[in-house]
Amino acid sequence: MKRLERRSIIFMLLCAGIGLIVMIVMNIAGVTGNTVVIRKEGKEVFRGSLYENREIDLETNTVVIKNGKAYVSHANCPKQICYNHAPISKKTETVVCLPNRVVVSIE
Amino acid sequence: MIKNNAQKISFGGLMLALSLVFGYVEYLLPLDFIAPGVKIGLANCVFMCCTVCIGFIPALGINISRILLSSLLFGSPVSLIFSLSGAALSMTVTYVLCKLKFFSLSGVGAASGIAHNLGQLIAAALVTGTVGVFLYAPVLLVSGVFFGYVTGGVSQTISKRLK
Repeated sequence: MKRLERRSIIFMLLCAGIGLIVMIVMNIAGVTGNTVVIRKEGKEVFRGSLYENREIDLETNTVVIKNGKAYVSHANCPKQICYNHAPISKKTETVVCLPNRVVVSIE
Repeated sequence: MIKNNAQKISFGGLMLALSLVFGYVEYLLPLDFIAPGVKIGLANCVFMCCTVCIGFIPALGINISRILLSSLLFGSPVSLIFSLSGAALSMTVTYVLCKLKFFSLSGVGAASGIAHNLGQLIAAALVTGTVGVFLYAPVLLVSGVFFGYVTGGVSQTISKRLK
């Protein structure tokens, strides 16, 4: 039993460690992109420059591009996770509104 | 302790009720402030105890019933897709690891926690039609494996006494 216990804890620590390292690397090494891509229900509905201030109205959500960052300024979803998300600018970042199937990403 | 079929059935009924209550507790106390989608996975604790004590197939039935009931009671029909896909992968992993006896229950819990989150990410990728949702995988990996390990440890302690 001790062998199985040891394997379990090593597995857990390994996975947690790898996850944390990947998170940190994604944060530090993330490259700032230059195009904002918005997909709704799998289809691309907007593609524009990250450096052109714009407001995109998607009925269910409103995406704002301002000062080189993109964020969701209004959403009709109950949990408002997309609204509370920090503005994104790196290629490794996305803002997702799952109930409305909206994904804002940077390329 | 659980010797005959009658005891198995009553134990199973008890576990179904318990996992429903656990689902409600997780609904009342969401850990969404850490990161969206982070769950303690108490219901998986019940599933692992059932697998060890009364067998995989009864546990499977109990888990699926619990998912259907709790999505009707305090979820939305949309959340059903994510719950089912997470549970499908998680139960497969639990079955394989328990059969192989490769990990203690803590490790099984950790692995099935990851599998649950992975299943939900796959469902999210299919629903939104975007692969970018997988960028969220590292966060879920860390939380899933940690909480899975803890629930696995709890299952191990409890199932030792129930067997």
